[in-house]
Amino acid sequence: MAEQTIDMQQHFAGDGERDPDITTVSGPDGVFISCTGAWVVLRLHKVVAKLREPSLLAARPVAIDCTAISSLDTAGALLLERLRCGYSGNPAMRLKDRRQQDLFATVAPGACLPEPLEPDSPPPFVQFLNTLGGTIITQFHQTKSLINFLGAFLLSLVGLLRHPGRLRLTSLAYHMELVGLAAVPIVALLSFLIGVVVAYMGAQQLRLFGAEIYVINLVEITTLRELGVLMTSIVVAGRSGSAFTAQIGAMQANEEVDAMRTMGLDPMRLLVQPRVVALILMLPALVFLSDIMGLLGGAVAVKASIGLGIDAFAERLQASMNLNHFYIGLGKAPVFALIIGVVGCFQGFRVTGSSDSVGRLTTQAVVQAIFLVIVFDAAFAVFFAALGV
Amino acid sequence: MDESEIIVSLRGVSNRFGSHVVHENLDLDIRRGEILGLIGGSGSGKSVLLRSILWLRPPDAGEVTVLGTPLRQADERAWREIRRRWGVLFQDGALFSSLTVTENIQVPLREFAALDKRTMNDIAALKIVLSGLPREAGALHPEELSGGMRKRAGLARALALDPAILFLDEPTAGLDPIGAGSFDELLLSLKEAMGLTVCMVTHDVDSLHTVCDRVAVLADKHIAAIGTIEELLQVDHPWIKEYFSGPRGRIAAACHERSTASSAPYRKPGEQGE
Repeated sequence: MAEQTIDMQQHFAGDGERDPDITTVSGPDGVFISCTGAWVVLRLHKVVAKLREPSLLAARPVAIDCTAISSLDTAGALLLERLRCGYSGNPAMRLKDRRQQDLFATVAPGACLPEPLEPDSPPPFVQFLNTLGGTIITQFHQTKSLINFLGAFLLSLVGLLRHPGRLRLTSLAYHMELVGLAAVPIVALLSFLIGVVVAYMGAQQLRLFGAEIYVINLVEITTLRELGVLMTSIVVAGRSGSAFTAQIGAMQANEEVDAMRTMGLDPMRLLVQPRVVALILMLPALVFLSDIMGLLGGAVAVKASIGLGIDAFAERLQASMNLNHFYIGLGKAPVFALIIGVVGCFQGFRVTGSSDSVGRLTTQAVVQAIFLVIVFDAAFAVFFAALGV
Repeated sequence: MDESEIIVSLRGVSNRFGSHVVHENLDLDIRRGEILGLIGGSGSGKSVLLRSILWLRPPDAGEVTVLGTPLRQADERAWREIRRRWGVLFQDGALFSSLTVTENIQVPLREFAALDKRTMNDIAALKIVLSGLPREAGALHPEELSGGMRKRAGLARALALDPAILFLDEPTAGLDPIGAGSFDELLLSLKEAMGLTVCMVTHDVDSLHTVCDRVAVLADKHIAAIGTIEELLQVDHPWIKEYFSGPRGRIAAACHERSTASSAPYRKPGEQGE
């Protein structure tokens, strides 16, 4: 027992011991390899280079002597066993005690298997083609399932129109508060600032032509038609789209979604409908708020830069305003809301077991939603230009 | 009992959450080279105790000494020493989900040992085989593994630096009886080969009979009893009596007797299925 205790202490500490070392020694019955010091994982780096020296590998030892090793662990035993396998003629292992025997018996089964062959990596150009092809195929499949998901959601909306009572009103109200009311301060502030920037920059440029007064039309068109809805959508994609993915993803990872399915509850109705419908109802309201705040910001900047009062700003706005800009901006809102909501929920359902994927897919949801919103905005711009409105 | 044999000791440990007292004045010793099972009813504070020993939740009062170092006074250097000498297997493996199994095992190696890539790969492959995983599992990510494989991969990571002491949190929970049985066998053979000391929290009565040298019972806010199962059976404590002589306890004891008689506990499924 006492001997074992000492042995164990050396195994833990290894501090007062020498570094591992290996030498070839010529004895009476042939060359043997002598190992000394502490062959423990934290010290092995001192000997790894020596183990690969050609002179050592070229030796034809009759035995590997481990009796002078002061402490040994599985990593040390592994390296020695691998060394032994590398020699032809099956040299013997001289071991000190029972503990060393146990260690070698433990590592022996897997130690001498050939290293698994790394497949030859193809030339860079082929690798590039592989990656490109893989990405295209993944994107194709993802787009397909996103469209499937959109279709399933629209079908469930049709079902909702037939049985309006099925809508979860409490849940809907909760999400309306979350995506709408809670977003009011940030949307208001951002839109006000954008209005200020547009008016200020516009006034500066238009002054060169002596046409400062048209800055009001500039603010009107950019805010009402484009920036109001675009900025609001981007903010909402960042705060609500990501939240949808994270909430549904966490439920998916926790098997809550599966639990719902086994109980005969439809996740589409319980999880997706309240969220997306809330977004479709609230985003136009936020856009309206954004329009007002943008015009207000413009008015303040106009007052500061060209000295035109707020009432003069309002008068001029009323006289020249084309309401189509306002309707077009507002009309895009429900479409963008649908995109943001559906993408957010869709990515949430793609979460698999690991919590790692929740973070990854949340990022992806935001990027994808903003991307699609801008693509659709461009499409709308071309469409309305062709219509001439 | 020889003082030097005690590898972990708890003295006067108390834990409370607000006014709810979980542990009060609790003493516990883990001896070198033993497998100690820690049992107790749900909510008796087994996991809290384990987290106290690991200093993840330092106890509100009392002292924990690991490998001769009192943890409350340990400085940065002493902590580094302790952390490379203990291995911990969390309940679901707690593998880093962004890394493959091989990379998971190499995390402590990278941190503590200055080895080259090839040697680290060899060591990782060894630990994978030792923990009973197929070699190919090294390239997989945790999400591609089953629950039992995740536990084995977690064990492989805990063993990466050949720890002196291994803490296991319910290692056989969620495994089927055959998987749990082979995990027990694995633990025994690793203990023999690597000279491990093991402290395991468990609910599994079969494990207690098969692998544990001693069992500590956590009840009434302290260690109500500690000893071999035979010794515990003599203790007059209602919970312990209920635990070992309840229907599940009796079946486990009977199975254990039969399997030690045939000396091949889990290899013959036909025998067990009768």
